[in-house]
Amino acid sequence: MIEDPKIRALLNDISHRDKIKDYLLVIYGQFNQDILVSAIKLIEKKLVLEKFPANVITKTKIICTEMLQNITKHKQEDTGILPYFIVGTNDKTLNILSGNIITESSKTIIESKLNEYIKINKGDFRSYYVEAFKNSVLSNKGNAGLGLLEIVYRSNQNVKFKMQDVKDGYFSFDLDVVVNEKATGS
Amino acid sequence: MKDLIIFHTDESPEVNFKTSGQCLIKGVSIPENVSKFYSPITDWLDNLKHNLPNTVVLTFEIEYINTSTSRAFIDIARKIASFKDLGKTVKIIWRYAEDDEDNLDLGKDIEYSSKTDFVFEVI
Repeated sequence: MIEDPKIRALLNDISHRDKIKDYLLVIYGQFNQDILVSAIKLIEKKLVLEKFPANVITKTKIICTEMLQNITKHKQEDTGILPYFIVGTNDKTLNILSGNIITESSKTIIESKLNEYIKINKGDFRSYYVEAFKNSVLSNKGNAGLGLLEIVYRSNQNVKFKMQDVKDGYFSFDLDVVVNEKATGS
Repeated sequence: MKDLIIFHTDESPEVNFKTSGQCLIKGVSIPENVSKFYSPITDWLDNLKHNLPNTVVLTFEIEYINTSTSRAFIDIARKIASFKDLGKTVKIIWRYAEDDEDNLDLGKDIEYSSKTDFVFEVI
């Protein structure tokens, strides 16, 4: 039973989206590294069964890993609102949805990074991406938006997001990523 | 100095680095703490510098990785490429399945970001 009315409404909204015909995976609740690893294995098995090509499977696993690691690293459990992660298909298109609670300071950073990445000219994206990696430093406390950059890059900029005020100083960050066979990420 | 051998898990790759200069990283790499996993490898390469074989070959055979791993691979590739400056022969191979263009792209992105030269081979 999902007690939070906003999350209930959100999940209800997701379940009525026409663009998803079949749900491959739905997770709502606690997230950690073990759940991430199991989720990726399950997604891979389902995509193989659905006969998705190898490159789409690789791309999807990379995107799902980043989305799940974002949730695991940045979740705000003390709000009582739990995160969700959904993978669904519509023929050869994959929809990957996630939602988690973030602080106001994270909201500002994420919004700014995603808006920047989404606006990059498609032809310039690869050089932007490799330059960002070239100049980055390995860190476990986050990589200054590199995870988000990876998601936008691999999905060929097929990313939408929404920030909703849910509590004082906390926001629901909903990410909607589309992967299809034409998205090359390069 | 001993060979560095780490067995694969569901979230980390097989690592087989031999003092003879044959080095392999194979499998999935999505550890929660990438620095903790890869620092023994970069430390091992720093030590190898004192007993460098004439040829060092690093092979990546990767299923998928997270962004922090990409960053770690850039560091490892740069470190191995730097052995060239010591007069050694260096080869970095990226192996991928023929129908997996995204895996090939991943290798090319790491090659470009690390400013090194990879050899791409179909598995």
